[in-house]
Amino acid sequence: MRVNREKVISFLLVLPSIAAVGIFIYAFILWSVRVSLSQWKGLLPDYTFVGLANYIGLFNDPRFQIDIRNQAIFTVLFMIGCLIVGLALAILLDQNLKGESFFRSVYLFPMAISYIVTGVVWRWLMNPAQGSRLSGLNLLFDQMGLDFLVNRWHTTPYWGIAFIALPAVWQMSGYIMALYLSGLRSIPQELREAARVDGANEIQIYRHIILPMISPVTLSAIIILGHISLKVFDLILAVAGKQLQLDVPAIYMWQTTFDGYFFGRGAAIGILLLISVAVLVIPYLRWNLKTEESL
Amino acid sequence: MKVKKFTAMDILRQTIIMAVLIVMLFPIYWMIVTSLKPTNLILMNPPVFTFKPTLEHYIYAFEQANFALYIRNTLLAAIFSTIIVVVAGSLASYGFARYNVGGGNLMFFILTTRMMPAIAVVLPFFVIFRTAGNSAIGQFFHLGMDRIGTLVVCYTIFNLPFAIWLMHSFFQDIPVELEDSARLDGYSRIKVFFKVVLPLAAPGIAVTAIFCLLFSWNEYLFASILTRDMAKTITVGVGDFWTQRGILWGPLSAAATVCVMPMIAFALLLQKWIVRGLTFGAVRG
Repeated sequence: MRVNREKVISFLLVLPSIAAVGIFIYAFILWSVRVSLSQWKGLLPDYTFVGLANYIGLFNDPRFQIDIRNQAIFTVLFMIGCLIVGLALAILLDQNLKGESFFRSVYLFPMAISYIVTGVVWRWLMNPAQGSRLSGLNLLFDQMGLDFLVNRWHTTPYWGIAFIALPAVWQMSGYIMALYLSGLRSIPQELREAARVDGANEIQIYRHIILPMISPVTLSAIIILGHISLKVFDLILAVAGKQLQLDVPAIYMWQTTFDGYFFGRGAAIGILLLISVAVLVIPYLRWNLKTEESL
Repeated sequence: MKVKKFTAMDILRQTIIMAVLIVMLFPIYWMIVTSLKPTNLILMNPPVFTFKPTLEHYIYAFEQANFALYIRNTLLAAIFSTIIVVVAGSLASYGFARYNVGGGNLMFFILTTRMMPAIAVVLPFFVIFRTAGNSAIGQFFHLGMDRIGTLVVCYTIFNLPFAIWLMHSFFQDIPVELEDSARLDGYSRIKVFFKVVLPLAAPGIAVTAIFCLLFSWNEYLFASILTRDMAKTITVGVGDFWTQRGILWGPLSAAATVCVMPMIAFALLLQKWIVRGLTFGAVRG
């Protein structure tokens, strides 16, 4: 049999990328899994097999329970906030507005900022100090006579994590707006015209025609926001530092591995995060790739 | 024909649009203002808006915290990783787009990792690079703890799946007929790639490169784990001002401004292309 020259060349094209991803991602995931099943604690490698002990330990660990709760609260608020604000902005800008492209770029620009900087800025805005040391947004509320809005932000007992969603929504809602906006643009103008001729008002047009048509965008947005929400740990560090109150699994992983050298447990947290993203993302990507091929 | 009225709805809309504009801009405006304020005015209550701007915090950031080095490190890591990603990624995505290598399975193998949380694999990276620094290869490629080569590797790996995904669509848009006719004109396969395909895919490659630079510039996780002093990047450097003696708001704001300005300028200049890259794949009718 003759070796197909075309096949060899095309395989060589993709080989470097396949190798890089295969080694540095897939093999490293397997390595992490192996570490998560070991009792490795300390600077020297120790691959003694302990089964699922690290995982079981985590689920019985009060700190990890707080982490899961915090992550869940943050993720839900962050998603809802971004979706609502993003969709509202997209609809607002989709009305043949003057200077639309200017507003669009301003709304989008926080996306280009690193979470660390966002955190620094909002650390100032969400200053929890009370009384005469009032500052940031609290001071603004106070001077506008909106005293009831003055609050302790991320230092609020129990619900502090909810306020971290605020800077995150500030940063990411422009992105969701851009997604929705291009979704709205892909809807043919004739469709709206036809509905108008049939006597539908603007609200009915959005409710019954446009929103159902852009629901694939919502799905994409949820997936994108979901995986971003797990990377939020740098934002939390920048707003508040490492505090148990605002702890999330990623911060726990960081501390236990690189401050405490408890590699086994750190790897277990990493793998749990990976699984939770995979459950969300892999079906979506399969669907995405399939619809792409059918186009 | 009905004359368009200026309704209450329009006023409401304009008000909301302006309010959102202020909400988006104010935090960054305040950061820049703080970075230019003399130290004794920063914590004034009520806040002062008029003052004589000073560059003392920038000077402090560059002299005390070595920000010039951090910028250099970040730039080197971002530029080198972007070059590698663009070269390897454009070859791979061309292979996938034109030859359908692996019938979609290999492509899926790479693209699945596009949204993977990096924190799941930082541990092996840490273990590998901790020892790689002492080997001859590690020395040669600047690998190891606190070396820039390490960051280049990390950023390359984590931008590659995204880049392949994005570039794939640009390569797919190039009609096969163009390539075929160039082949008939006697161009070699390599010549077709460089003379026909690359120029057509150039905008897509540029968009991809912009994203890789942006992601690398803003990256924090790997930089915080794998660097200490010599290879420290700008996002980690910003953290220099928020421990021991409380928060040094002046230098912190200056550092944050330095960190953010190039990316904002970048994003505003190349806005159109960025929107295409951002919204691609999420939208279908």
